Amino acid sequence: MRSITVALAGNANVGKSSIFNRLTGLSQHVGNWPGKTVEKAEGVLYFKGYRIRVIDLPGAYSLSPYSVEEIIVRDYLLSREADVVVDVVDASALERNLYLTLQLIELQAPLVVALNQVDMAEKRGIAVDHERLSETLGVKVVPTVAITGEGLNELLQTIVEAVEKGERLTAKQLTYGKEVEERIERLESEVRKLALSEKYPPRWVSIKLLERDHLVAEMVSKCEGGAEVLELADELAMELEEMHGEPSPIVIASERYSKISEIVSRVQRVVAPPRVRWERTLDYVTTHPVLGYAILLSTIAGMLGLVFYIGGLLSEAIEAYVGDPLAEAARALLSSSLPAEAVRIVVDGLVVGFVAGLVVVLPYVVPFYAVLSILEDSGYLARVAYLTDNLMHRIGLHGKAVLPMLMGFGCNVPACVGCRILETDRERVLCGLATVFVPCAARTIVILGAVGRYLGVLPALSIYLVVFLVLLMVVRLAYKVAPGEPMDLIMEMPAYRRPSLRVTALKTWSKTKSFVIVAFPIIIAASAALEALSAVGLTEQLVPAMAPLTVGLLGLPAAVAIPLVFGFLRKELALVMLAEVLGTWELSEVMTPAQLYTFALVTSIYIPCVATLAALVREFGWKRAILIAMTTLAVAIVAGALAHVIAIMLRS
Amino acid sequence: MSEKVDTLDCALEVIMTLERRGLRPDDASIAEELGKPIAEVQKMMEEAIQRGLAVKKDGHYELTGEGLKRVLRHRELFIHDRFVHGEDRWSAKVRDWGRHWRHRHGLTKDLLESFYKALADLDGRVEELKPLSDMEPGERGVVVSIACGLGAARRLAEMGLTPGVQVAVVRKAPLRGPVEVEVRGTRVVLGYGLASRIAVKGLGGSA
Repeated sequence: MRSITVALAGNANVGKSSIFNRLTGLSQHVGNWPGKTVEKAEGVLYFKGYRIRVIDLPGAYSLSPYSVEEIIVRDYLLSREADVVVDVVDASALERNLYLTLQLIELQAPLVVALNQVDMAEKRGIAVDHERLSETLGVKVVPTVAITGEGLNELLQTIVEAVEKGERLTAKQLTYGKEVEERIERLESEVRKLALSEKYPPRWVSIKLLERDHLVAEMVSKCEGGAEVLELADELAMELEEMHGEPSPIVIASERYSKISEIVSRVQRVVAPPRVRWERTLDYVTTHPVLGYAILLSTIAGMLGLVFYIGGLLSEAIEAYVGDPLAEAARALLSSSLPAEAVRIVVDGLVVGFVAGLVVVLPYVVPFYAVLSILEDSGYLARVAYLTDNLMHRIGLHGKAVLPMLMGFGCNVPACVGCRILETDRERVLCGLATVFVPCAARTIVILGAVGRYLGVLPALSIYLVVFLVLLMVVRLAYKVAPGEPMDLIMEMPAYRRPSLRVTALKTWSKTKSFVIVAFPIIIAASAALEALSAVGLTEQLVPAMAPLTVGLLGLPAAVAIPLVFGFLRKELALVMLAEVLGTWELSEVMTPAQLYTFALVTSIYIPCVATLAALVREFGWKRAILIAMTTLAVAIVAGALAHVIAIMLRS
Repeated sequence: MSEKVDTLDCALEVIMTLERRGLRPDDASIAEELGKPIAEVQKMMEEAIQRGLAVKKDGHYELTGEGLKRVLRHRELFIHDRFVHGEDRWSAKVRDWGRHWRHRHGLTKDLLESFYKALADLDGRVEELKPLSDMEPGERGVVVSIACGLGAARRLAEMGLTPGVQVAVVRKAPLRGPVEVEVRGTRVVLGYGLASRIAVKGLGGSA
């Protein structure tokens, strides 16, 4: 069977993932780009006797060398691995989307344009003449509606036909304005003499040099004769700067946009007044200075309420019908052949660890990501970012950080991974620090179980409040200490749209999968290791060793040392172990209200669980992961000690 | 700065603007532009000539080299105080402006040069410019200059916010929250700090 490699390129929010999901379905495989913490999704489909490998490139607005995503897209395209590059263009935002298209043309990528969301454009009264667009750009253009799958067959057909006929899909080069064009040509004739022009399109190299692209400049400088070319490029760029009074990257960007305006005026017509009334109303109320915040708060509260309700039901059911029978079966099977200690390690460690992941985390995490994915796809999360930008700014982040932080309510592991959406390394680390303070599903179980159940709802809510105050204070402090300037929010505001069930399901699946891959093995392994330690009696020795901290500083019973250590494994285990070491589930009989409160507070804050720690290491490296963990530990001890002191003061 | 000096700067601004439009600024046209009585303008211009900032030729005024320098400095201070520092006035303490822009505001040498060029080439009076963050929802305007670091300027350009482009403010979040603008058929949200560094010439507009 012959095979074709197709890469999907496009801006964010253009329905690129929808096209990818439609094309590849469950065959997709999500990994990382080599050496980068950026997700790489690929999948396979079969069409008319071809095996088509589809690669979903990261969303990018441009191909400049200033973000990891853009560099990945660019390097991938330069590697010429893809037989066809499908540029997914949002027909309802043609002007902005063509900016990337023009750069793909400059790069001489074998291009097919998928003119997507033509239905949305139509709703806004915009008609795009795709044939004329095809003529003007000199590439094939296929109109599509990714949400319904309309036009995707034609898209595949176009790709296969082109490959069969051996057509060159590279577009003819567009010419820019005279001042810029002359300089590109002058530079191009020099670049052609360099060795690298065999590998890279000389026109593209010339444009990049005029844009003062440091990566391309570096490549050129390594060539023989490169120094002279760079000198010429610098001279020409300076001429442009003098003429336009703008830095050359801005001059070139403006040049592309003026070319685009010209194209758009030829292919796009406003044919009718927009029919977007419900969309506009929704947009208005969800960004309203008063209503917007009320809706935001109730959405988050509703989301968490729903997730914990569904999760609770699922969790009980799985525990009763899967978890318990599995543990029993394993015990029965092994106890005849293995010594008791070994059975304990295997059953209570491996099996129970596995079951716990299944019972405690999945029932909450899966519905949570389903709801979050719906909010994201509908466009609501961009409104949340708009509303919260102000608050985030105070801790050195901006509105986009709200997504990973919301994810943290489900589980901190995908939340840490979610920090990738931020632009700079500094922001990602700050956001990572913030997310580990967000009470995840497991911590919510502890807060509800230890405080909510015995002391009431208000004290439980007050723990949330304290945790958020701590979050704000710690991250603000970190932001003052960390070097570098804070970034301002620059974000596209997508129009509201109906989320698709299929995309939601696939997105939830892919997020859950990354959670299962990272967190599960660690939970299971660590749980077995801890069982082994307690089998040889090491954990008991922790009790006197940690007494100065637990009893002295925090005023808790000495035995809580064990639950606190187990909490490192999975936070909710702290509650289970607490009942176990105290010998009763009636915690209020053996602990004072103040002790319960302090326990829940400390558990909520101290060291992220082992799976989160692994995610932190993966995203930020050992050093920073440990720094973050130690920070939370220190903060937890201070907060717990303060709670203890306040309790003593209240009593006297 | 006293009120009088401020108006003198404005009058010089007007002369430069009118000259740019190929007109010959005289007392009447300056007065009209400024919205002040002719007598006041005459008095002001006498002072300007006395201080060597302008000369009178055949009934119309021309800026001297000193006058031109003064207008550019006025524009620089106006942009600085209005766009970069909001309400607080810092200008009085600054000695070396080039250094101040580079070190305090992170402008590169290239950016600074293009900033000065934009000041000299400004079409219209500097007082007509306002930060994007000061525009009201529904108001339209043309982006004149973007006084932020190259990194942000580049990202703005990629999103379609290039000098000369028309923008309309869609809404603003309360308490110096972000500003949502419509540009090239898409909506983009900009943090307040960034929006306040984008100089826009208002075109009015319907809410």
